[in-house]
Amino acid sequence: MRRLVALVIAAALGLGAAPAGAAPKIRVVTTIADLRALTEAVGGDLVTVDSLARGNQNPHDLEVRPSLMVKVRRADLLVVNGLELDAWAEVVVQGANNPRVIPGAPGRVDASRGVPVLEIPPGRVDRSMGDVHPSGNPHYTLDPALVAIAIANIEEGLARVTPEHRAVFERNRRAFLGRLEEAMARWSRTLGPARGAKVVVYHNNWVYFLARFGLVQAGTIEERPGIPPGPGHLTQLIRRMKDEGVRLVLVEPWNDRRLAERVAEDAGAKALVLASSVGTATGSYIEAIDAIVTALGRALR
Amino acid sequence: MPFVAAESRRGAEGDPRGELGLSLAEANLTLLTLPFGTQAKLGQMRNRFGLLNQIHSHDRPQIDSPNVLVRFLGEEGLVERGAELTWVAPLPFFLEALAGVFNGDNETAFGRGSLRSALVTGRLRTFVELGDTGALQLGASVARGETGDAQRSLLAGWEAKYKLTPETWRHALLTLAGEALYSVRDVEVTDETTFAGEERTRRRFGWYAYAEIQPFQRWLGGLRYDWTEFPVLRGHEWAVQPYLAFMPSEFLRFRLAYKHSERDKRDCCSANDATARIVDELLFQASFILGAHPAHPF
Repeated sequence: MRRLVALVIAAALGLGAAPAGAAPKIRVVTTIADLRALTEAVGGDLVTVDSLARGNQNPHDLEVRPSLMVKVRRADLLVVNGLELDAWAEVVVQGANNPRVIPGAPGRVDASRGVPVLEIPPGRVDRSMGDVHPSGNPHYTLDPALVAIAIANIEEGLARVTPEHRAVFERNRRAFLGRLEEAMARWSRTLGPARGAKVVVYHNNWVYFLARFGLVQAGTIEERPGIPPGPGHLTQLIRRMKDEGVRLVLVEPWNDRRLAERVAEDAGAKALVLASSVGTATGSYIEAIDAIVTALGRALR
Repeated sequence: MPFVAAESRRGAEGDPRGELGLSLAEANLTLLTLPFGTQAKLGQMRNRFGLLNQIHSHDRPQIDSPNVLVRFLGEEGLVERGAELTWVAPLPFFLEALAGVFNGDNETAFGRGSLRSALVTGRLRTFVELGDTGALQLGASVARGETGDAQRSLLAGWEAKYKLTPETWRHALLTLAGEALYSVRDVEVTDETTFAGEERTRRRFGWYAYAEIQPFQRWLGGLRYDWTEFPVLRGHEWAVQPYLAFMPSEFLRFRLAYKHSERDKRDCCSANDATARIVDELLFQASFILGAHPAHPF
């Protein structure tokens, strides 16, 4: 019992976080798994990074659990995706009682700052349009070219909370961009033969990725974002898929897979379940995009 | 850098005669940048007492409030003016402590409406993840103040909530939750022969529990059981309520429930200008969400 009490007190005081003599690591929390992987790439050995949403969870509507508040309570830096994808994070922050990461604090990073956002609604946005993001499509981390902007924002945030390590972060960022460039050439070669191919997606997640690699989004299973489709929309979609020769339906693990398979079957296409985020706790961003490109390249061959 | 978050909610409610009433449901501000992991909320608020009190009625798991909350805290619940201070412990697991001071203007349990005989509240809440799919929240609350007749009133509450959410699911497959309240209240009774006033202490208990299952994204079914004593009168009541919800989208929900209640006396309570020992009710609710996608609390 005494040992347990000592452990709890040690944890409360932050003891045992780093071995004696070693500098304590910067504790970073990100809202989505892609940003975790990108922050690890920039922060290297100087950071420990945790993501609130796991790669296999839908980041649009994550349940706000007190366990998420525990992570944010101890964070030195919070990296959010922005563009209303992770608006739930504000509820987590408010419950975490950590002034270091509230909006506007030095420990807060919006990774979307400066990203050329696609699909910004031109006029008024209301609920009749479904769960539309008023600031535009928030899934920019699926474009490997745009993550250069995101990691610049992350580097800036890390350097703000630990200015003494700015040079290390800059070196890590450049090294990551070098690896990304090599990978980009590989991905372009893999998907090159499929350029111009049409795909249907379940939710409008893939627009940045498809645009980057010259693929065409021919439609969405959801009639409006976040709203289950009606039979009229599905009938029209299947007809269009047949007319336009669409061979592939992209579906994410949390979407209605059976519905996607039924639509694909009726249209003479096939459904491909693709995780649109870094999947496991140890996966890197490049490995995640590698997996997506390989699966897509194979399916569109 | 913002250091305050402000919230103001207005409620509109229609009565059976069709008249619409508007009221200020909540108006408060939260100081976000206090030291040592603390935060203060000031103003009029739904008190964070137990599992459901802080949740607005349309967001609660069932259409109506559990009997024990209605009997012990009134139809509105505990909505008070004052301040709450919370502290989240810097531990590897979630532990939140709360202390509050309010004017105590509740319709049944606390009625002084003055900080001179303040309502003091406290709550401890913890939460554990049980693997990748399960999660459990436990809490204990206390509220101490005076009734409208300047008599001592104390409420103690215990709560538990468990959710099972399979990997990649957007909603819980199974939810189990319950809450128990224990009330200690002094009352003044008049001797019918001597007409002398005498102080007595009433110790009363009540609880509810519900189970919900949602195997499909659009459909949810559940069952709630209520058992409670009356806070001042002798006797008790129980109720059972199966319910069904249909959600065509995340912004629209229809709920249907059947509630069967039995009391050991007829004259304890009234609804719709009538009293009865056995009551059967059919409840229906349609609710919709305007504006931004709301966050889903545990």
